Amino acid sequence: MVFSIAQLWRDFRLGLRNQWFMSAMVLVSIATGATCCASLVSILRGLQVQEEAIINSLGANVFAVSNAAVAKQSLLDTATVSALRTHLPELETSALRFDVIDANSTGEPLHIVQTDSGLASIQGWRMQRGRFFDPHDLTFSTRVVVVGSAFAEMSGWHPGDYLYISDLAYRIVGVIDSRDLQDQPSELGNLAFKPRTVFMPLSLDNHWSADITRNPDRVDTLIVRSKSTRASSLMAARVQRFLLGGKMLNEQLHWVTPTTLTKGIKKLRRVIGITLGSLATMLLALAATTLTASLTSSVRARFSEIGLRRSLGATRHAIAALFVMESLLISISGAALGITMTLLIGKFMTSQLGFLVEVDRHVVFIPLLIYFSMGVLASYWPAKFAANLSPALCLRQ
Amino acid sequence: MTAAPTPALTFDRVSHRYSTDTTVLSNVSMQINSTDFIMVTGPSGSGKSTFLQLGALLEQPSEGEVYFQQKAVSSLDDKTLSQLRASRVGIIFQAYHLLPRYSVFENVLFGFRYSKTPMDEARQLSQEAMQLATIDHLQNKSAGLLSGGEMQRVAIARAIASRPDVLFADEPTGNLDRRTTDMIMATLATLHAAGLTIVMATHDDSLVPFANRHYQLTGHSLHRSDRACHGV
Repeated sequence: MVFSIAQLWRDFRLGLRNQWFMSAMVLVSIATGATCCASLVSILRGLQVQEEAIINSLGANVFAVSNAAVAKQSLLDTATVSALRTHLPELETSALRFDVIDANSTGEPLHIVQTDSGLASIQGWRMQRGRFFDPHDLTFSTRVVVVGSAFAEMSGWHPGDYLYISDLAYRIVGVIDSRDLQDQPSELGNLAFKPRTVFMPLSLDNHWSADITRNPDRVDTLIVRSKSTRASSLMAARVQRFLLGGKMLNEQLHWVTPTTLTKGIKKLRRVIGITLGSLATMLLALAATTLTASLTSSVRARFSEIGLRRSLGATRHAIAALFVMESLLISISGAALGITMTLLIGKFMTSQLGFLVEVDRHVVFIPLLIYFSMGVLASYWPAKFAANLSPALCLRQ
Repeated sequence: MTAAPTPALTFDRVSHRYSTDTTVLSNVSMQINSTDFIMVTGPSGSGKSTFLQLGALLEQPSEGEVYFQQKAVSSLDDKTLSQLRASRVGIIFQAYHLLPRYSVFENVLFGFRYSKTPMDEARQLSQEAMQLATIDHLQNKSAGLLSGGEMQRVAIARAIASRPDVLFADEPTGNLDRRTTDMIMATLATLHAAGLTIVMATHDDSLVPFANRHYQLTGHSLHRSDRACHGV
């Protein structure tokens, strides 16, 4: 009789009937381990995706430097930025100055970001309508602003309309697609722009501020993007050397690079990786031992059947394959059950709790591969034991 | 002039022991021809089952050589031995060794599990074997629900379904009443008449007349007996 899947399935069922309770327990044990393993993969993948989103939100090859909170005065100013542009022409830079004022009607604060023409291109923003600032706006200090589309829609603004800040009219020249502004991670600090933000040229006087002691040339944050493909960390080091050469102390500056941005999330990944990883490893070891014990017990209970199969022409390999296949079917079924559980839990966590878990092919294939390997390893000794049994001895049982 | 019968199985100074101080068979030499129905008798523990297991290629002797169809068994690898067991050898056990949850037909068909016979042919041969063992009316019944005699006939059908050259029967009537014993022996006699070589071990001396040669195992040695054997 030629080999067939149906025959293989019948062999498996024959084995299961002898040890159905034990097999069920092993299946539960494997499913628990696989759930833990798949959850670990899905959480770590979720954090990885989050990390990539944070890095992307800053922009490719982009970093930022700000005045540190400990600095008593603004150390960055327009002159320093100009000098930097001259010294390092391969860098694209944009200077930003932040202010917050109380709005007249709504009571909600209005965030003002003064910047130059380079910000939109460095950040990769898409203009929904109109334009961003051009050098003419900066040179002639024209009273123009750019807003996000959500803010414009909420306020009923269109390009060409005017908005008033401290009784002075500013013409709206462009509307940025708000999808580029929203969902900015908090790790970005000031660079996570609020919905009620207006952007205006850096050269404008901040007449809305009552604080006359403030340096009108101050720059709060400098965003830098390398025009070349060199790593942003190398570029940051060059900028740091330039600024420190200007007698600034490094402690007075706050650096926002992909590394600093993802520091917290990396730490979280490490902690989860170690704790959940240890638990997953222990459950894997437990599942492997339970499976080995169950298979060994199955071999002992099936001496007579093994003897019969050998007398009917089964080779040693065929007997070993019987137990390896049994082990693989149990471990793959358990892993599939565990993965299904993880997918359901992941769906619930994402939709109900807002916890970011990533359910992709890795969540399916990594636990399957691990538990497939475990199935092969766990069956090694019982299969070898069964294969080497003397058929005569088995038939005497 | 008739052609000389071909040797089916030869034992050449075969000794076997399970441990250094437990000798089961000592210096056994004999030749079984393809036309033989050999009966081996002896008390319990005399080594009858071991003798059959050596002949049925389930065990290798500690000393000496067993030749199966003129091939030295010790020179054959596991795969070749398994193929011989699947296609050339049939074995009937005293304990039947049926799969109790399988039906009678499935048990008989299980005899082909490791042979290369195509499925359709295996089904056909299984049906024929069940008819020969007169159990075709039980084919859908679960093997676990059969009587001892019926179980033994299922075991016979399984053993002969693949048309082996040599059939080994280890106490096939050991657990059966007289009437069932006669039925089983009649079936074996029919198979022998059809050309099957049979080697049977039993402690029941009354069955000796069914064979054409009789051997006794005493003191771990095999002796040819002079008791009348009629053959079939």
